[in-house]
Amino acid sequence: MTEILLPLISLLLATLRMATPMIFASMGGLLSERAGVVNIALEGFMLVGAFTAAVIAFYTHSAWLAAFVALGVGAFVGALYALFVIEFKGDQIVTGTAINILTVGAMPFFTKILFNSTGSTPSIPLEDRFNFEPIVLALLLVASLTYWFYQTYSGLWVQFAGEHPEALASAGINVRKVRWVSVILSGGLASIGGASLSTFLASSYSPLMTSGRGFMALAALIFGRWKPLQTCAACLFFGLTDALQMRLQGVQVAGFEVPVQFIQILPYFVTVIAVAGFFGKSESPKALGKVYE
Amino acid sequence: MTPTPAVEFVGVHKAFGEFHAAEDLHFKIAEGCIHAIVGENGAGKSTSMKLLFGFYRPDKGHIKVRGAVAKFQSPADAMTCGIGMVHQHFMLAETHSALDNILLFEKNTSAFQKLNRKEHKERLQNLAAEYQFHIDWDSPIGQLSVGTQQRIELLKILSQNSKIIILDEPTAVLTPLEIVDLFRNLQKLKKEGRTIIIITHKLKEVMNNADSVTVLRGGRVVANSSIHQTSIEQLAEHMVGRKLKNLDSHPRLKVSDQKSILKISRLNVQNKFSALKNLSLELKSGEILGIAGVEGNGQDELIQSLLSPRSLKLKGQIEINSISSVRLSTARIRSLGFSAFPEDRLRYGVLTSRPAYENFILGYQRSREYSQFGFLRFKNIFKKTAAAMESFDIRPRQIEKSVGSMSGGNQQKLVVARELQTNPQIILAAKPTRGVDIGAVEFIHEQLLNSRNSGAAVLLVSSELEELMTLADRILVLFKGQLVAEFDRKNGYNEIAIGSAMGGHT
Amino acid sequence: MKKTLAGFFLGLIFALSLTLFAGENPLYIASILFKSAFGSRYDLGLTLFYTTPLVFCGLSVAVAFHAGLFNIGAEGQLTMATLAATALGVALPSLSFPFAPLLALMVALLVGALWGFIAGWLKAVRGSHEVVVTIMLNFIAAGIASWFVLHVMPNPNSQNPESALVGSGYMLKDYDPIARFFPDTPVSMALIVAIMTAIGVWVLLWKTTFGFELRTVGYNPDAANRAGISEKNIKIIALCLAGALAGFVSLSEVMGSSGQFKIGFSADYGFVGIAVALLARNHPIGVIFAAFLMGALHKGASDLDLETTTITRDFSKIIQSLIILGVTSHGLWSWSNRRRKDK
Repeated sequence: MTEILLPLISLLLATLRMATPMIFASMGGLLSERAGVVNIALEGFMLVGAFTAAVIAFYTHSAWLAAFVALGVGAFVGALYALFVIEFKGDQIVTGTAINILTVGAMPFFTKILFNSTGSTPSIPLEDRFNFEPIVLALLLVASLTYWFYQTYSGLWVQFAGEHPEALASAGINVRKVRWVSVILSGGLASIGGASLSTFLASSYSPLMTSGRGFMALAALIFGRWKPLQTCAACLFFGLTDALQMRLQGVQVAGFEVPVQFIQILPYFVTVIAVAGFFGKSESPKALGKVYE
Repeated sequence: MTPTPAVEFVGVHKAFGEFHAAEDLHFKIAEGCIHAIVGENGAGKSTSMKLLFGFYRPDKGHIKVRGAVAKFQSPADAMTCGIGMVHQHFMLAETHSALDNILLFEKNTSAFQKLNRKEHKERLQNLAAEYQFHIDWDSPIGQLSVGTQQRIELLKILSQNSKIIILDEPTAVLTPLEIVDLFRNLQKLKKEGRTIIIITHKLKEVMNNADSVTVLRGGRVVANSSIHQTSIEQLAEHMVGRKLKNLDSHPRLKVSDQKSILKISRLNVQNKFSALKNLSLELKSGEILGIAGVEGNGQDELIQSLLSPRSLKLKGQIEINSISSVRLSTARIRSLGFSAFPEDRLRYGVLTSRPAYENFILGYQRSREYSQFGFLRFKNIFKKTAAAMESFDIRPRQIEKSVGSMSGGNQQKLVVARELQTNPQIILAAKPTRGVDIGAVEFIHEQLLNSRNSGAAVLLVSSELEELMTLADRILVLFKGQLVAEFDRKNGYNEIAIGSAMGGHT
Repeated sequence: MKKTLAGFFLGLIFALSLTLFAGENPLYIASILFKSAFGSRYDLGLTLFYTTPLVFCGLSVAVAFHAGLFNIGAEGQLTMATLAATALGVALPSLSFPFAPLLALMVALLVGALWGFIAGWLKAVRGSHEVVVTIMLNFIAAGIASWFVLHVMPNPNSQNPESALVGSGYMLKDYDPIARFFPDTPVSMALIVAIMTAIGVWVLLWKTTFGFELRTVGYNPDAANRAGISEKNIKIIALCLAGALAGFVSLSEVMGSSGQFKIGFSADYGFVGIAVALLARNHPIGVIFAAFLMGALHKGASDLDLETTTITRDFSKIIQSLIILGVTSHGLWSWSNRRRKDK
């Protein structure tokens, strides 16, 4: 009995662990996209969070402080994104791509100043890292976000900012403000997702360590039809493929070892299938990607 | 002493760049009456009301509301001051319930306050009962009828207890019966002491329902009068600035050998909302066949089945000149001598950012005239476009000019010129005069009659009774995907009978 | 045009002033960038070498954009195409010039087009978001390339992550006037091909009937459908075309210079191609100049490691991204005007 149960439990735990960064990021993405702002920059936000948290945890030996600072720095980068897409009316996909390139380019700039290297940050000792807390936080986040989103006035504002901004404006609510707040929060949340990568799943920041998780969070959002619970479920599904991917490495199939690269691309492959609409079409918020004048 | 008017415009100016949308507007609207603002597209109707509602701020002059100068920074300010507006395109999120759409407008709420749906639903149900509105509070708005959506918009305003209510083109999307219903409700609101302002271009409605009227043309007030002192003819003349031709006297030639050119038999279409059920019709050369109906009763599906049948799940048969078209591509169907005026010009008809000549060849770009060895023949394209702009009087007469900078009427004329350039056998004219000024309407109607007289078959899909009765030789009424009634010009058209058939009463 | 240039310089100046935080003099950094990009014939050769793939990628993004699509997948498309060209050259080493490089290019274009087709088909038929799909396809392409290069055709004479060399008949070197003019640099006559291709794309988009149809889909897909232009087909073809254009990179990378697939050879050409297209406002001829600018920046930044102690070559990414931000922010100017008015 335990022979079956133990691996299953460990797979479940691994799924939760792998899904955690994506859950944070996708909830951030949900906020921003439901408010009408496309968020390709999640990847960059995550990278910023991973770096910030690794640096802070290394110097202060506090994972909590690290996560907190990552939240703040992520929110700042989110504000930068908001400035460009909401006020300067930059194309949201182009601007998001630029933010992603910027973060990739900026991190070595800082590691060079701080650690005189362009690669990883120094490793954080085990006792200074998170054990399980981010998982709980992520699930709490989904629950509270769901409640807030559907049961409060400001939740309704965010939904209308993405569905029918003119209606929201005619109700006397400042659409731009709602979008600003949503995008800033999305930066903060995705950044915490990144922090959980470097201080929970791994032991340091390494270049490009997000390896597309921000984009997968976006895919989870599409797959989950821009609804919190479904999106969380989609993240868990991607987490499962990620966990399976790690377990499958080195496994022999009919005496033939599947190349590790093929197993590594499994999550990306699954993502393509997921957004290909083979599990039903999903409809985006009506005003998604549209500039509000 | 005259009582203080509810609204007074005092020398109001508003310009957008070079364009003067409103110039020196002076008029008064008395308290507790129904006041109509009429004019053509671009006459400044919407602009003037958006100024009143706080969307824009006047460049010069001011607006008085109940005697006090109003300085609204936003619509929210106007609403606080007791002004409400039902927009032409409803301010309702289709994915959300009626309840949530109204809750959005609750005053004095804080961000993290819980939505008290139950309590508000009861309150709104009571309010709705007062006006005998039946509203499904919990379904997504997108699933409700347009009439219901409008009533929700009205409730939104009534729940704010607004004293001045502006309605922008409120009857454009309603069935004739819904229109009667709407005006009955407006009369009731008037009796409660509210001031109703309707923006419209339907003069008959103005004469039947309004107490007073302001006519705008080119951003200026051209007439202000009480309804008893004016007439439809007079209002029309004010609107257009000249006398109109009477198209009833336009010759209708009897085409000698009328042959059946388009045949639809037992067409069934399954779609998300409305669908077509067992639709059969026959269109002959040299006739204009009108398809009357209120928007959303299957017109879109009918148009799509004719033009791009492969994009639909359809059963039944469509034959163009005895060739079955249900499996053909749009390009192939068009090559059978089928051309179409799109029902929504900006969406389906033109490339606004592109010059007139590119718009003129759109759909004909592969013809030998415009394309050789895969390359565009610009010389021919320029020549033909210039000639068409001349003969259809499209202004400004510049083939390089982007279509987006032309007026709606000129855009539509360009589309008409394009679609008629090959002398098509079948013309599908869907709402051919939507958003077009009266002068262009006249011109387009003449073109359709001319095409008919020279042997083309015209399928006219429209919701405007007047247009149908002026042009069509026969009228079929489409209701909920079915043809429910047929009227023939020979027997004389009965407006009331057609109108009630459009509402499903036959 | 004015705004685009202003945005470009704003981004550049802002990026340079960031070096103040590292205790550097921005003017000094600028002079390094300039000297390192154009300082000698050798430097210019390298700049032009980086320019070449950027022209192809810029065209790839621009063509897709004209059809209303956002191609973030040029990176994956060029990876698969280059892999295919290399594989052919390794598998059939004895083919001779000029047949060999021509065949390799054909194969590369085909494979690039195929990789574009996947995204195009998913977009047109399944309605998938092309941005997410092309990004995932980039990762998948990288995985496949890594496996193929390391396990199927590794370089037997090297520890580096690179493939075996293609047959000598595939190489342009001996027949290449451009390479001869810039000795010791990897620049090749692929640059000429790039310029010709850009002109070809301009003709295609603005002079041919197909180009008109492609642009029409980009301007207004609903109107295109009504006019009998199949939005689906055009979108699929556009992404195939974009993939093939990105596939041209194999010409400069494999046949033109290294003769092999080096993992990580692409300095994010596919992504920088977005900046190039944006800077050129998707005009094919403009792409040539924009690619030259971006190529120069990349070459210029590559010497920052040597010339300074604090700034690394990754600085080029900061500059690129800030330039993108400067150019895409159309509202920046009206926003600053409005601010001034409000005061």
